[in-house]
Amino acid sequence: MKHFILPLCLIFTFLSFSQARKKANKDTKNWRYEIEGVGQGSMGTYLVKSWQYSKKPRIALEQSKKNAVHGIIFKGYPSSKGVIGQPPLARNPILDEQQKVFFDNFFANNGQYMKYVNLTADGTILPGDRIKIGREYKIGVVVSVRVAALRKDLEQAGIIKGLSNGF
Amino acid sequence: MKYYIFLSFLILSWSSKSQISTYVRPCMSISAIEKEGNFFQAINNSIATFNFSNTLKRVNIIPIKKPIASDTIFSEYGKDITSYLFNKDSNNLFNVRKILEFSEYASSDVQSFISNNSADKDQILTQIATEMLGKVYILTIDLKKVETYKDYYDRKEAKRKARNERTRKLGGEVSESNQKPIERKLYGYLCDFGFKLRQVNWTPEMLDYFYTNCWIDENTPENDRAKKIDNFSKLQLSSKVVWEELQLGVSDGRSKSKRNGRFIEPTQEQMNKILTSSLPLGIINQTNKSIVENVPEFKIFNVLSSTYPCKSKIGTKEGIRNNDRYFAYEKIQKRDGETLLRRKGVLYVNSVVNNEKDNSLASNFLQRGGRSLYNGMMIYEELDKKINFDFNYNYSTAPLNLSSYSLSLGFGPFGKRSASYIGLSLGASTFQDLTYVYDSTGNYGGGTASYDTITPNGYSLSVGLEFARAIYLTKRGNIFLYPNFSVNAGFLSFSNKDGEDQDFEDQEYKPSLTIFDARFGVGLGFHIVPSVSIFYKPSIGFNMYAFESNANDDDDDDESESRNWNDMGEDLKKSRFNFINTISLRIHI
Repeated sequence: MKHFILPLCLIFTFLSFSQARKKANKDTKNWRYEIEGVGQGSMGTYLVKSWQYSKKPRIALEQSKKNAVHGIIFKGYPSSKGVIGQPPLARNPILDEQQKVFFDNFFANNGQYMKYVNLTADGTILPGDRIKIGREYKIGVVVSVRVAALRKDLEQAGIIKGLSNGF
Repeated sequence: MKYYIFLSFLILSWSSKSQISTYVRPCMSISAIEKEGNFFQAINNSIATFNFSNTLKRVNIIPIKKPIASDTIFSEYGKDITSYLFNKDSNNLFNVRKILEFSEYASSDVQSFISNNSADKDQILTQIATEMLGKVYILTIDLKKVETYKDYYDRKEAKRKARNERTRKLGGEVSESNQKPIERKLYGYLCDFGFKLRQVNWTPEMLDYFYTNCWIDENTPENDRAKKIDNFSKLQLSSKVVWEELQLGVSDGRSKSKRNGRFIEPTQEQMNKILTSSLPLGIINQTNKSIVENVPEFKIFNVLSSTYPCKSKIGTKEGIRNNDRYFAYEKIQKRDGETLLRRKGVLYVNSVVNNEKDNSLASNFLQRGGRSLYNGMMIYEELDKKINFDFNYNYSTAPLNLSSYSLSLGFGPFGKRSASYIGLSLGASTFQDLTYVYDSTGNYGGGTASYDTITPNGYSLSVGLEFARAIYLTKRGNIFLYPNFSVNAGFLSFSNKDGEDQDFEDQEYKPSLTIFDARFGVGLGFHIVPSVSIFYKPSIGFNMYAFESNANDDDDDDESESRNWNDMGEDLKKSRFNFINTISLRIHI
């Protein structure tokens, strides 16, 4: 019996993490995250803080990149603290449903979204940006997103319309 | 400097008070109150000219250090601070370059990241600067008394002579030690001083008034300037005392060298060096210690950037030192939305990085109790007095146990990996029907021994000195091995000869036994909460040496006899090597 204990523990840990990851992905799809602007990004970038919820703080950190890109495409963020807000790249409110296959691949673990994000140094969190609420953690991470490149690639893939299409 | 930067100072000072970003270094100017007297002036001049940036690492020093005439005049001083922070030049023009430099130096790597990735790099620095303006302090040192060691010895010598004179007048005899003159071994200075730490009230209203009515830059119209210069000259900055110490003492005494058995007096140059360099430094060090202990704004806080190994991006720039203690906190939001900080663990600084040039470097911490810590938890500096109180119960099956209950006053942790301890213990124990053999004449060496076996009741008092080291077994530092070594002296007092109350009242000789023992053991400790731990300490004790003296002997001459363990009876023989189980409760302050 004792030969099985270690493998069982490993399997249990792996399952628990993959469950937490699935839950985090589900939260992203269900818009259960927040983003806010923390500064006017330099040329072609947005500087945002993305807030995510998870029982596992490590998962929340990983999810922060995904949520930042997801938020910029679908949510945008309001003006606050001297930072001008930005509308979402997708003007169509049901774009995620219409392009489900594309976005499932785009936001897959280590998917294409990774190309557009830079995490602060090594994911350091500012004081006060890690909050325990009930059994979950709400964690805010500052992320820089290369919006110009993201917009260009989404336009080329035909997912969103170019700015010139509006005129 | 650009208009909008200052505008954002104003906006931020109104809107973002609650925003915690990083440990913001306070800005502090140092001055001393003018006093007549050569010693006072020499120290005050040194305080005014010295660069204390190595001593006061955690603050930005504002180098406006002129002695002030009295304890209450600060408006002029406040203006000087304002001029320095807002970089006033010879043309009376202000800019925010200096305060942004301070902000840049104080910024964390996350803030550097935001700043470097922002179109407006100064925005985050302006936020830090705004917080910094709320932490501008004026330190004033008030020297009360400075004297040389020579004066100090003269005073002591005069006191000694007066005391002896008084004793002689009353017909008493002056003891031999009091007849000798005071030995003048040291040279240097002793100083009594106090200080006040004032916080400048840079309120948003004040900032608004300053910007609207006093601020001049290249864009200010010529015809407004004279009025604004006049306004600035009348600017009143208020301040409040946030901490003060009325009586502190510092001494700097060096050993005199000896030639032909006589002390050599120091040269004037040696004395001057102490007066103008190391004594002012000692004063500032003492002041800094008191401020850091008592003013929360001077305590460092940050977040854990990684755990196990625990790291945080603070270092020499913030002036942290090895073995400093930090508490880790988790921010918790309750159902009603209220947030609070809950303590989760204790950490000690294990290695300090030099982050003067690279703020992404992190110092290493070791957890010493508490729950699992995570990246992003806040850590706050908390002064560790390094004092431990241990309540011990020692159980032994040996007939004689020198201390069943003991209380220890310990110091630690010290040294590498914050793990060494030293302690002094006081213990007590009682015994009953202890078989003891002694010479009822007390004349062991005289050849007229008359050995008597008694079974007395009594008690023992013991004092001990313990050295120990904690070896942490778990990453959280909750469980640890505790190898320890102690030497103890036990003093046995017999209240009677046997259980039937035959006592020593009428006897000329009443034995009193002193035993020295050594104990070595490896304990197992567990932190119940970070500042309270329990131990189980099994140890082997060895009674090394015993001597007996006469408790009924009233004269001052100490007459004692070394005793052989084999001659003291079965119970003491059996107790020579013993196994002691100790349960301890430790409270750490």
